[in-house]
Amino acid sequence: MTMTSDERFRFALPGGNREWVTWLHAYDLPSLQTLCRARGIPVREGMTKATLTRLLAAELPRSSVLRSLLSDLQPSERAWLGLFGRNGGVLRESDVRRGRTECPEAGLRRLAARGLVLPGPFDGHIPHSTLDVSSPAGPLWCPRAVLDLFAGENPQPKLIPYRGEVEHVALADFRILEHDLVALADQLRQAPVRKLKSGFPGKRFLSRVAQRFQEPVDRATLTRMETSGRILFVYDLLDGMGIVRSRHDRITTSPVAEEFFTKPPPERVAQVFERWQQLLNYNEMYRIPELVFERGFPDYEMGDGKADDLPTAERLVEARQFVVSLCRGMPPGEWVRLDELIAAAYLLDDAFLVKPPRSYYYAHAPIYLGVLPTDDSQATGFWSWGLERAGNWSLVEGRFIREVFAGSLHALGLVDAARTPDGSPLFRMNELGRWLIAEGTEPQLALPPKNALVVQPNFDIVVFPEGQDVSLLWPLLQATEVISRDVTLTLRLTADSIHRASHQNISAESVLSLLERHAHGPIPENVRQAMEDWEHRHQQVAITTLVDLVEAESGERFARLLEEINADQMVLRPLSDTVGVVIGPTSRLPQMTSFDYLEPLPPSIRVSPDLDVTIDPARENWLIRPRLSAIADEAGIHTYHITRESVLRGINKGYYYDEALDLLRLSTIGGLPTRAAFKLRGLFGHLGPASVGEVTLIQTARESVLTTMLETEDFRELIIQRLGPTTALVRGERVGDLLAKLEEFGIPNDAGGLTDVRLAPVRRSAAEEDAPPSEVRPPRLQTYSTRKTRELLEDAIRQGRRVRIRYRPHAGGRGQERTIDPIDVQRRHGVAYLTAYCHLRGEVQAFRIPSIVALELLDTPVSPR
Amino acid sequence: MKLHRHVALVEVKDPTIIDALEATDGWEACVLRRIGPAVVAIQNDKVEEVVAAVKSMGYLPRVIER
Repeated sequence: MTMTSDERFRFALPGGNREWVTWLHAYDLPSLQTLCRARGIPVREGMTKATLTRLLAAELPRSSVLRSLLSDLQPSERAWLGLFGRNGGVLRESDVRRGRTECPEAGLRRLAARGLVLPGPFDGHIPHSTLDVSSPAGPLWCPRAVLDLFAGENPQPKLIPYRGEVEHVALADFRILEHDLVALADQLRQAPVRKLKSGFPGKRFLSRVAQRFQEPVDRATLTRMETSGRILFVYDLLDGMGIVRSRHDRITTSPVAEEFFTKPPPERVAQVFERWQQLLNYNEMYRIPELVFERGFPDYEMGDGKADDLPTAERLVEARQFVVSLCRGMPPGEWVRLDELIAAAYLLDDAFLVKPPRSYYYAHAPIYLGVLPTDDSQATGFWSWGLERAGNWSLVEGRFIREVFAGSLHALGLVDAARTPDGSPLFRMNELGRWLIAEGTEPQLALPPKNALVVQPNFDIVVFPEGQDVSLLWPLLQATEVISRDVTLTLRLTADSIHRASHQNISAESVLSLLERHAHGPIPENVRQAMEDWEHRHQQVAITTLVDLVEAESGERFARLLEEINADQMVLRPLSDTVGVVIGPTSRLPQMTSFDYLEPLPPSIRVSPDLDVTIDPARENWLIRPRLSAIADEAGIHTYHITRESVLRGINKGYYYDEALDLLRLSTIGGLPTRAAFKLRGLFGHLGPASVGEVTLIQTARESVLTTMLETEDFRELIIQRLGPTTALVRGERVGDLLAKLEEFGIPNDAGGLTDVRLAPVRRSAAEEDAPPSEVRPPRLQTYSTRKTRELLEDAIRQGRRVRIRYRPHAGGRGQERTIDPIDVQRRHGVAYLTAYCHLRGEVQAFRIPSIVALELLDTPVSPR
Repeated sequence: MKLHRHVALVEVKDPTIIDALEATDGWEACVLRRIGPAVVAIQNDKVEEVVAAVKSMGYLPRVIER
């Protein structure tokens, strides 16, 4: 009797557990104890035969148990198994009699006692009475699984090719995956996206990317990677290869992209394949549509810290490698049924994905802890905490094999998929797959041809379809703007695009050389010259952000420091005799010498109520003097005074109230006095309360005339403040000077230039000057602690008052002022959030309270909603 | 000895570029100190403004982010 592949597969599934349990009862206690120890099952004193049998039953008839049974065969048993093997696995009574003459009968008895030889044809039920092989009631047979394992310690599966009719062939193509890799990387390069807590970009971005994906056409749903899975797969590959990276909570592409996409095609394929085997976020097991997964069943945790049977990351990687090893047994160029692959996997290692049960508390019903069936799956038995292992191996580990073949290996372009007429999945390794997995010959992967594109004198590049290989497309996409995507791709070279490419380590020179290699005809001379010019302009200025500078008191001291640092393998690049830039971490610097640390804007000044500013020499930093001098007059070595004139000078340079208030508020030691804040607001907002004297309003016919005047030094010193596009204030006593300048510059003051010079004295009366300025208001937005902010917001909710806030959700920047109607304050994940109607956005939004940097409760009641 | 942390550096091949930058409006609010003829330290949060100023002069500055 020769078992067919299907029969063997049926046998291999754990549906036959009960039969094997029957056989286990034939073992004596020491044998069962030995078997348990061999399987790593802890054997304690007092365990009965029934307990040990139940523990072992949880393992049977797994190939791993068979292997342990076969590990200590005696010569007579080996002889009998050899006889079974020669007879196709079956011995009739006559063969037994003949065999007795060649092999000691005890060997056969021992084989039967171990359950390796079974009486009667396999029909799912073996009566206990047939244990006595000395009087067999019928033929004896040895399972194919036993014989296969007996044939070699780790036999290579002999996969039987399928040579019947094939339908719906889906050919795998690595170029499709490459196209998607480029699409995602290019999208991230164009617009870095925010990284969510999950570590991935948001859904909106992913759906945008999906539109650029070129998924394989598979109308017969042979392959198993839907769009969301494919995005995760592609993203995980890029992440694993270091092509995407996170910077300041943003995900973008890294310079590694350039290195990867310009590699020769075989190297790219090999790198992607190698990376796939190590993927951790993309897990084929979780893509099995018939299953759902639930983590953590602490009641079943047995001290190993793992409360479910879901594979760990390391296990997943090993499982992928195991499935890849199955491919090596696939006949070249032949289709193989999925069932055949699953059966082979079972014989090789039936615990390749999920470990054998770790906890024996639930051994009465061994389960896949945390693996549950969906409503429409055909699971044979399950509990609320997992699927029964018996009968569900193919649903869990078998389906994993299907997901790897139909999902990952097909997407990687290594395995073709098809179906038999009765709907069974078929797989076949293509030439690329054989080269990577089964050591076939290296396939000839097409390189972009020489005439792949045309460069036009108007800087447009037309890329023909045959030239759209990633090694050509990637650098071109970095260095150009996309004009149109169609059958041909139209790109345009611009100074900005070349500049942008330089950030990806792609120089104009390399782009030019790439174009020369692949262009049809020579590069137009104007394009060549423009690119060389852009490259030259790019090389002239370099700006390095976030560097640390060391400044020594003297050149001598700096020279000593240079020796000291370089000797310790830290780099200090001198910029002048006393200043150098530290390359690398500065953490070791304090160990070598004494440093004053100067962070941006530490409190370093004291401000009087009259806006006299004194710099504390002990706390001075580089930032404070340049900033102060924008709005204050220098009155001494360490003193400044903020006056109306100095403020107006600041306004004319674009230094407004908010900046000035922030500067003083953040830099003042002990906080800014309230009176000083009042006075500052007055200086900026209303040219008072200090007397402004006489001013003159001028108006020009055109905005450009006033702009030109303000750009001219001679006029700038006369003009106090620009009030609008064509209006400005001039000091009253300088009107004569202004008219003289106008005459000097030949600007008529009646037509063309100034249309009206109208004296508009705004001198305040003495009474007005003495009276408190009614329009002067305290600084509207105050900064409070997070706790105080929350309390104020809760007050506002109770009182139904509208609130103005400065909201800064991200570090850096000054934030944005918003008017809100607060609704509710809640704590989520340890952070307080405010729900409020935002008048800026026109919708109800959640605000993170620690990000509300300043607020003011308004007297206006909230709008009823 | 002082360690100035988190500043930005502008390095040019031709010192006249910095001279030209010094003549632009708003430069005072960005600059910290001119360290040498071809090197100037600026405030890190003003890099965008300086890049814009350099671009307006016709150069394409290389921004090296750390």
